[in-house]
Amino acid sequence: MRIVHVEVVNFRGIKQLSWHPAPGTNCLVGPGDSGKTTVLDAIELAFAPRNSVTFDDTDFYAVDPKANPIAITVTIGDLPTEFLKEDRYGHYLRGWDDTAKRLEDEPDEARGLEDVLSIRLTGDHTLEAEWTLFNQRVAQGDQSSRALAFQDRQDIAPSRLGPYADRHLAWGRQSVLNRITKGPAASRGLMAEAGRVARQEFSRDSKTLFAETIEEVKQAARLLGVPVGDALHAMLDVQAMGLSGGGISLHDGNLPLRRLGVGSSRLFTAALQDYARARASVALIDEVEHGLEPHRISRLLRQLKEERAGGTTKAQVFMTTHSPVVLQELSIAELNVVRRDPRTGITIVVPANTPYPGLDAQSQPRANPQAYLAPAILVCEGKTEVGLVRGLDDYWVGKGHLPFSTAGIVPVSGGGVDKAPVIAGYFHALGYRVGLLLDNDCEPKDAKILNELTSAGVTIFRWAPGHATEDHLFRDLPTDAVATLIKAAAAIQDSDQSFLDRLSSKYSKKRFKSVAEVQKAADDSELRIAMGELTKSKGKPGERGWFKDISHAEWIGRKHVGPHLDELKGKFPETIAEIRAWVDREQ
Amino acid sequence: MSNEPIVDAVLSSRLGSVVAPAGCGKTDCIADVVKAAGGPAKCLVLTHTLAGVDSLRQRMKEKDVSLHRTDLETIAGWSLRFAAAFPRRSGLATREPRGEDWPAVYAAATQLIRGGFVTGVLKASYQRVLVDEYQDCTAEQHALILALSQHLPTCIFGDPLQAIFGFRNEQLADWKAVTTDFPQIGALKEPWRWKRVKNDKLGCWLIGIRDQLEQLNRVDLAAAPRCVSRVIPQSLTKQDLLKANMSAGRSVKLRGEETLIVIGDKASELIRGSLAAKLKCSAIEPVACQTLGSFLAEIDVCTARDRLTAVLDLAAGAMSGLARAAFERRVVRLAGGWKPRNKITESERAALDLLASNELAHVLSLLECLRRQSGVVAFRRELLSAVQNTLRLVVRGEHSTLAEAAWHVQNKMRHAGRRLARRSVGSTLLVKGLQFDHAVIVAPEKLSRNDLYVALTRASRTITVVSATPTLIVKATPQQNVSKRGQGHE
Repeated sequence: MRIVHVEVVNFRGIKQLSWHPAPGTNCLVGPGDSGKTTVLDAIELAFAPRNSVTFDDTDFYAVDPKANPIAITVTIGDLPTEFLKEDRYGHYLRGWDDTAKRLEDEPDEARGLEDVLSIRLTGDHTLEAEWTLFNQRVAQGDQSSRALAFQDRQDIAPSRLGPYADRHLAWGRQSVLNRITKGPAASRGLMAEAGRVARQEFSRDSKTLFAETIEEVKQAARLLGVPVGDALHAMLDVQAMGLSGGGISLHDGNLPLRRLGVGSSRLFTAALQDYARARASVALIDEVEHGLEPHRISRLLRQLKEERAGGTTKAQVFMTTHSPVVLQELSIAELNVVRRDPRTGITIVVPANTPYPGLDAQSQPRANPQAYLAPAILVCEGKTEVGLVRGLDDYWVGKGHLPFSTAGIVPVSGGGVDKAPVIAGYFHALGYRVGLLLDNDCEPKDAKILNELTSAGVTIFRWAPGHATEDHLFRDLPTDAVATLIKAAAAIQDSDQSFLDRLSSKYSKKRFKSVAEVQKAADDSELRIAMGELTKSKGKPGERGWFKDISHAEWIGRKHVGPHLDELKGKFPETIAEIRAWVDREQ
Repeated sequence: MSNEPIVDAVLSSRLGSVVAPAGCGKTDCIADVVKAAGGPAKCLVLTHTLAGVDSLRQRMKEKDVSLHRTDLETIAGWSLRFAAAFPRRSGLATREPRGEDWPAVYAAATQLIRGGFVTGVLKASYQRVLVDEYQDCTAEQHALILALSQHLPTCIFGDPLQAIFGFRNEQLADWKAVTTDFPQIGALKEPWRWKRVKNDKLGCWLIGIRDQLEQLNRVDLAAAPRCVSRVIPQSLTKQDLLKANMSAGRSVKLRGEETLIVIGDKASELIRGSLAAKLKCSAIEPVACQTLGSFLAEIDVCTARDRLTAVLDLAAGAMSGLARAAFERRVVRLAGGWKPRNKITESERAALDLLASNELAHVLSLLECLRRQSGVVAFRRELLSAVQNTLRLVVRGEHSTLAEAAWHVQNKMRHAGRRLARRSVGSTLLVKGLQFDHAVIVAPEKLSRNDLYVALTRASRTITVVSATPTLIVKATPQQNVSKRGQGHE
């Protein structure tokens, strides 16, 4: 079985969602509250094998059951042949056009539509949950409504691997061990047998163990004339002991397996579920990285993606994650961004491989995994700008401002003036709030792109005309700060001499003898211009500019730009103030 | 019974037909096929009438065939179920078809199956298709079965000699064409029905006359066993014929629980009705019988005196011992204010109410009172019950129009099946598929070849034929469309 379409209406934070998941792995990312877990919950509920599920008010959109009745519709394909029978669900089939991603109300095998069934879970203000097979014929009252039989629903119900997997290590309700034990009925049989065994074992020693107490009980009873026989003895009351279900769990030696670490027990459970997943070939995994070291994450992901033995279709996996490591392990086709408009509750799932002109999106999850995990992205032209922004963030945090992380903003490096706008456009198209910070000494090759981005809603930040970040640093900062930067730049160069040589190639007014001499001249505007030019220059190591890595730029931002912001004048502090305002603006 | 060779042939053929003469264990054979077919997928067993479904179900039970092994339905029911499940694909227009809508239902089901929309459902649900009474298939039904047979092994059972045309203008599928599509893979030959009552001779004779009928369109009664007797009318005048019919009817003595069928003119309900009255039989009526239809249409539009006449006409045609003329005269006088010496009867009271008010309840109560009168015998019981039930539904407000109510009553009758009286009068169309101990065939010269074969094969003990000649000669082709009656879809 696999899920071809999910439709959610009025469930928790989701007012409306319509989504066509892919056959293999579907990893949902997006900022907190975007509804990732709600999607997983919706899928799980649609198959919930217990008819007694009831909703509570908070399950309804806007906590208003009267106005917002819940409807979750999950359409499944790759149906077991049994389901196609006319006396089972054959008459309820619908047709799925996988190429057009379109659902037709009636099947058409001849035209290549796949036979699918829609399972709909509804709930209204009575808080009762109701499951039916859904199609237009039923909706119009032309076909009597029917639900999947309990057993069938249980057979195909997805297995869920939540954050804590302990329950799967005991024979409790919903435990994967029950599935491996050939279903709940067989399981109950085993429990009963286990109870009998326990009673027998217990009774062997209980006579001596409880002999004294029993003797006293007998005496007391005789005193009051209560007729008790000689057979009075202590025995296990299996029901009171809760031997059924969770009372029996997997042990390794004497150690219960639930004492394994979170990660190990999740891995172990995943393995069990994989084994049990004969027909239920859909798995739901919350925060797949939970409790796992990076190397174990990759092992788990690889295991999930593996073709099942016997050449049957691989499992369809729905997972959520907050881990860049997971993103780096996935291919872009497996990645989906969940977006929820907080005002309307309209939620969309956008595939991360939605094409964007000029960008090979393939590389993005590896290059900027953290970008997918935040609500807003500040795409910076290069690493210098990323560092500067991060340094400023640190500085501001020290001054009691909202951290970028709390505001949900991640600065990422765009890799140059041509690429950065494209990346900004890509993430904006995926639904992220995007800012773009570009130097102003050079324009992107695509002359129209900045206007396009602006009209699409990307906020663009630029320095003064003709200025790169480095130009502003050396031209605008106070003398002390520039002197410190000169010293730091010299320290990055192999030797002081080669630093002075490079400087002389740009600055001819005077030949300096030492770095300290240069520092003293920090006030000279020509020197400042030359330093700026040299700092931003590109080239081989040794000839390349200084501060081209995040950590140096971060240091500059924190130590030298931040503290002087109040004294600075002109476009440089203005643009920085714009960025700050963008960060602080209501999202 | 030794159905094995046929069962094997059916199970090993993709497409095939089995010729099954009357009384040769066709139902039995189908049950055996289902039993031998095994599981896990079901056999789809289709037939024409609900009565046919019942008898197949009964036989399966007797043979211990699990009913989970079959989907046993009428072609009509199955077609409607599938076509209605996928209305856009099948193009089905109505979910509650009436008589004239049915060909469209078959066409819709055919379109659904031929279009390959739900082949997966068919293949998952059924391992093969078996169709009973195939000779009764219309061209539309044949097209449907043909479409099914493209996806599933299919075997049909039937007897071209028992094809009787009855329903409107529907064309029966031509047997020659049928056997091109479904080549004959076997024929049943043992007359089990007669062997069971130790009347092998009659059974064998009935098998023997098939060739003669098919090739020469004649049956020679002189060669028949002794249990087949002939009543010879003195002349061909109406009176002498009637006399002969009466004496044929009276000549049959029923012992114990034995039953008698008098097979009369296919064309006229009224003639059969009067025959029933004279021979003290009950008439078997078509479910949607013509008299019922025209009576309901009449009382729907007339009132007072006209309505009384209509009701009394119906009553007189369905019950004997009414003294209709005297009754009507007295009621008219009473209505005019005349004070009679003797007490007004409950029937007269009901008739007066009918004259005074348009309420349909009075029509119902008049019929009920008339039927209750001493000395009155209803010979068209089925007709009267249908009329009364229809009126009752409207009087109780369950349906707003008589036509609507009649449709529901008829539908119910189709599902309930009929309870036959020990002595019945019917036509070949009405009695085909039914079994009796004794048969009287009046006016055989009016019967077509297939009518005659069906008439001759109804009784297992004796047959009495009213005929001036020892050789019965029939017209060459089965008569099509002899009746224009509103025969319902059964």
